Amino acid sequence: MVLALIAMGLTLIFGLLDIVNFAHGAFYAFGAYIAWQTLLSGGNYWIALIIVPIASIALALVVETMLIRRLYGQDMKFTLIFNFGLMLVIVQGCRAIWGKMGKPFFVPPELAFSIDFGIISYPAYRLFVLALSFTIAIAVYLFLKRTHVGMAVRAGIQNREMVQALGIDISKIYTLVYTIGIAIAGIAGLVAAPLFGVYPEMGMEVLIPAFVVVVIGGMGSFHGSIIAGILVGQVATLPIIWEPRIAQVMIYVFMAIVLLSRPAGLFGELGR
Amino acid sequence: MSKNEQLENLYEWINKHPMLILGILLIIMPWIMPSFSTATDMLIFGLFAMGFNILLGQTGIISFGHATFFGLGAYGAAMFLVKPGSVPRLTVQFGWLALVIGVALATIIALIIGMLSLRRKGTYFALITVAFNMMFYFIFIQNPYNLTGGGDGLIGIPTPPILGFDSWRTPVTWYYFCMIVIFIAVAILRIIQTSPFGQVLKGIRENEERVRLLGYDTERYKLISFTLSGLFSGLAGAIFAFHLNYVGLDTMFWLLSGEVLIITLLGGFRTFFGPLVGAVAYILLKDGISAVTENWMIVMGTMVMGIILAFRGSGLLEIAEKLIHKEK
Repeated sequence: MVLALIAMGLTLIFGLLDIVNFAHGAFYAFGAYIAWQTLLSGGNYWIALIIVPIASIALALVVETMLIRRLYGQDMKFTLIFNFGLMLVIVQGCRAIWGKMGKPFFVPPELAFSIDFGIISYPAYRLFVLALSFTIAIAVYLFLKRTHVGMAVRAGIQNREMVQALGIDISKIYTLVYTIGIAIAGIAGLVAAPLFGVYPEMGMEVLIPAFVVVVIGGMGSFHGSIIAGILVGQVATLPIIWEPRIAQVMIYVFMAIVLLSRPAGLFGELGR
Repeated sequence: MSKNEQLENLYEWINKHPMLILGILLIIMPWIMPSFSTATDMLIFGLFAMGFNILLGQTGIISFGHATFFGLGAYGAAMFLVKPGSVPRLTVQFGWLALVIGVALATIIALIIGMLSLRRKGTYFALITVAFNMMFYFIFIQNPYNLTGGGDGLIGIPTPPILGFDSWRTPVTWYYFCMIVIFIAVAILRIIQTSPFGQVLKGIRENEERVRLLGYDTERYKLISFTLSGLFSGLAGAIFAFHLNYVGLDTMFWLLSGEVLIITLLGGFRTFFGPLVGAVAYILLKDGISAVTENWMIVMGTMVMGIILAFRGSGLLEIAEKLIHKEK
């Protein structure tokens, strides 16, 4: 589900801003480090759950208004390389501030137990992650479908000029969507910290699988990214039962199969 | 003759004989660089970036997975010389055959990945290539059939003999050997660029629709361009394996795909020799900055963002050309 969270933000940003956010994984690592710092400073997981989105939003606002904004409408390869550079800066920044070594991160004590389902027992924390991810997904979905601002976002994906012609300040919408995407990435980092630990390269490792999710789901398709996120999670974990060594490779094979049968991804439209 | 005219004549002359100038510069280069080994690095990454630029600069397609081919070239060359698992071991006398195997492996995989990924354009294409890059990375990390050495890589790649001389290799001779190989490769790239085939690629970059309407099978041209670019990247990788006598997984990590993009951009992807200039500048910068601070990635990242925002993606060579034209 962590993958689905990251993919969600990626696809939102791509859909509206037309930007492949190579720096997305770096924001994810940033979120995890902020969470770690919160715990170090005497806070707990639940305080981090409030602080991480705030810090992510703050960083996103700075980056968007100062840098990303200048990229709109530029050639795709430039925006791509730009964000690659941004990623290097953020990742190395995390390294410089918090050190090269990974940090341990424990499951919040309130959730450090397993729930017995009769056949299998499941760690409560993972259930919490699942519930939180679905809550976020539904919240964003409702925001897009039910609110006026969300409508403007969807309209902007369809036809930017028209939205502007209607008197809506599209650049504010851009800022908003970028910030939402980054905030979700930050939360994903927090959520992932107890599962995988906190280390500078964590974002780089998760970024490419997240791209795969976005490609499989169809770029720019919000529900596509969620469904593909769950699917890819299954594809990556099921082979562990019989052949763990190919698990990491499977998602790319899965991607190749999807692309061969549906070049636009599961829920994408051709011509993007 | 005024000074200005002299300059102009010089510029014209340089423009007419680029390969000659390149040859002279390459011969001088190691003597003004920190070390011969650094200069060899520059050659190898220069070739890698030039191979990459067939696709980016000439055909106008951005790949984010070229480390795949660099890595395959390196591993392909190393595999048969080191710890071959179930693979027959080449004796060092036939060591250069391993180089050919590495290049062939990179080329074949480039053809296959090209067939799969060129079905989509633009962003999608870039993401699919980086995904395949990671796929190979994960395959190689698993050390299948004991071929790749997993996380340890392959250590102790011997240098094959030349004309019966076994211990010919010193940093100096090795540089000039690599220089000759890479000079020939660049000459071939130059021929490709100026050939009718290269012109079609350029046409695809400018307006693919129009080229297709003229009756060219653009899909096939793009596939050939991708494969060629994989071939030269693989050659650079194979030489790199001999250069370090070692192949590690970082030759295949997707960060290297990003690095080659930075190198190409830094030198100027719209020019033929730009990637080579980029490699020299990049390695000098990287060494220079990392001597001062261990956070060289911050400087590098900032520089990349700066190139995009301030110069609209123009690299060193393009900026130099613009300055010269302004002088005129």
